[in-house]
Amino acid sequence: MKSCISFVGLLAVGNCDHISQQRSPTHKRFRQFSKVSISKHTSSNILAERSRRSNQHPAIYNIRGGDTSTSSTSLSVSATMASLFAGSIGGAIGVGISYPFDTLSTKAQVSTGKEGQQLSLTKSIGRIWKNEGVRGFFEGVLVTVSIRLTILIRIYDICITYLMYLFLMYPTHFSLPSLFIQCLYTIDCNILLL
Amino acid sequence: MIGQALIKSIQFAVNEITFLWLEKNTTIQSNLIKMAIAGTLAGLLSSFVVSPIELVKIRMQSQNKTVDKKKDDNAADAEVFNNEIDCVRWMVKNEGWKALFCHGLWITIIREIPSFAFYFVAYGMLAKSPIADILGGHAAPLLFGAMAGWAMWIPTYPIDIVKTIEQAQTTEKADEKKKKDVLNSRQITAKLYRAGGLRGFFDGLEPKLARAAVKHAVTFYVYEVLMGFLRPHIRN
Repeated sequence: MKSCISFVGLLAVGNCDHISQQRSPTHKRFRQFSKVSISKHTSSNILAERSRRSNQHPAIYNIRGGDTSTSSTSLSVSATMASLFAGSIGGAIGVGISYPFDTLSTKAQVSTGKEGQQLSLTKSIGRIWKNEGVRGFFEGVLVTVSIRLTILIRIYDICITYLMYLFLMYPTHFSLPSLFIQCLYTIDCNILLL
Repeated sequence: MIGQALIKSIQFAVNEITFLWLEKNTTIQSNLIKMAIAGTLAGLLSSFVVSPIELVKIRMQSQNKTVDKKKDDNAADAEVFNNEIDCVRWMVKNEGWKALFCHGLWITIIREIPSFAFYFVAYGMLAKSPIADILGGHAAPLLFGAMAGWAMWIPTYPIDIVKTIEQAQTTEKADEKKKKDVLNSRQITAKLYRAGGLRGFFDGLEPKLARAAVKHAVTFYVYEVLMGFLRPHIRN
């Protein structure tokens, strides 16, 4: 949530170095997401898939249920770190720039809870400007932005989201060590957008 | 060795249980419902981080101060803080650590659960729709992110307004008289309904929707630019 964590072409792969035909990483990620959400996992084809994959190493086998020919087993940490870094910075700047809207919204909400007359949106903007200046629109922005940049909280956020998603979409492949490794390797921009 | 065996057997058991769970439920559950459940759990777990951060943010935003950092006479019996650290320090001193982490936690959980679920489901539905093919790989996630943000905010906004009002009130330990004035979520909901009817629950929605769109657009743009610098060989 923030902090909310927000969600979600969850299925993207950080390691797309080897795929040069793709139009762009975003495109690839997005298509993968659509593909997997369309595919229906009946119990019979899950059984088949399960037996087919059972001899693969849990840490590297394709938990996403995507086509194994398009997703490599050589995972790249630097791609993950790049995604994490770019997502954190992007999220922080996004939150920072959109922050005045949030302030207006909060002020309106708080004044609704109090007696007295309601200010219209334009009047509210004028009043903040007059009383507090530009800083008035950005009160409390530091705590919100810094949380976007706090790597531990971001990882927690991402892992929770990703774990829940994988657990529910592909429960047959659920095991803690493999999921943990998957989480670290497959952090995607769309999760970071939250 | 024994530990390894134990881990393996636990893994195996978990796999079996979850597989049976899926087999039993797969006929009645579509992927969208699964996504909704995933969103619910994610929302539940993230609330514990979100709640204190939003508490500080709301205290900072709701203060009415003038340029020379004095209280605005027209409103506000609340404190005036110089910065976030000042605000946290004041809260710990006057309300205690417990209030910092627990004040408004329940209402945050109530808000986060449907909002995460709505976001998941809306994004999933949009990604499956034919609009995704028309828009292409760059525009689709950008637009869908904003639309999913709106789908998340509109239904959960009434809960958000109650949460903001609840967290904006101070609960000072020492002051018994003031403590009685602190309303819980249910009382706030009743008060809002009496004062403004259903429309009262949607005050300030427009900036929130604008924020969702701007935030998604900027975040996505910066992400793409930075990834272009960091991993230039991916894109060509």
